[in-house]
Amino acid sequence: MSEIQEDGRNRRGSDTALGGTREARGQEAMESQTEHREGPMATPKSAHWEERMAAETRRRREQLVRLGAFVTLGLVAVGVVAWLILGQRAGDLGGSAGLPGPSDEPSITQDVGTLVGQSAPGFTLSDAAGQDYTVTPGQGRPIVLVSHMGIT
Amino acid sequence: MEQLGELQQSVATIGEQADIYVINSDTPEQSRQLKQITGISVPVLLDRDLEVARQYDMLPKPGQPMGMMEGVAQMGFVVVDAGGMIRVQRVDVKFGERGDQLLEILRMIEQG
Repeated sequence: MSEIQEDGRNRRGSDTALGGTREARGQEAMESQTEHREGPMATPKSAHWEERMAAETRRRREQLVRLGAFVTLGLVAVGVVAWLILGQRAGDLGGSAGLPGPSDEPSITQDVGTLVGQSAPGFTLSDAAGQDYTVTPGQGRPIVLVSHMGIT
Repeated sequence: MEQLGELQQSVATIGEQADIYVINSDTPEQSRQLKQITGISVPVLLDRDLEVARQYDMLPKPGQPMGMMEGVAQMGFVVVDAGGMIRVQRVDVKFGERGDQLLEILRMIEQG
């Protein structure tokens, strides 16, 4: 009796030990499943996210490039239109557009052009004999003023 | 100076279409010498303080043919149309050789 009781306790003890082992195995299985979910499945998820981010970055970069090109084209178009309008206006106002330009290299001749299209100022100067000359533009006759550096 | 001598060959023709003046900053004595040497027959006006050269923006500027010079006006010419508007404002150290060009400019301005 005593041996049987002892044997029973041992079995229960053994069952308990077995139960413990089963619990431990179950825990391991759960952990394994968790790892399986977070580990092997997390890697493709992360790679997919990175791909999406890279694609998004590429898309934004392409958008910026397109925007930059659009803005550049717009500025060029505005510049061309402004140039045409100003050129037309200069022509309308009687600017040097359409008249013969400098006929030599820039180290010899250049258009200054800063006052073209503006009213010429009048002035009075004297010559070497002391005679005064009053030059009044706009009196119905063209004027050529030859600018000279002098005898120096 | 030789540019004024060159220009003298065209001033009679130019003078038929426009009033023409030479402007520089010479003293009266220098101006007399200049006229004697070059034979220029149009009025040579003395802009002693370069006021007119300044008004017509013909003082030397960096990058222009006479850009490094000071105290003188640039060589060149300004063409003003019959209505008093500036049509050409040009630096040209060989202006004396541009008689034909000046005549062409005046002809085109006249034709509108």
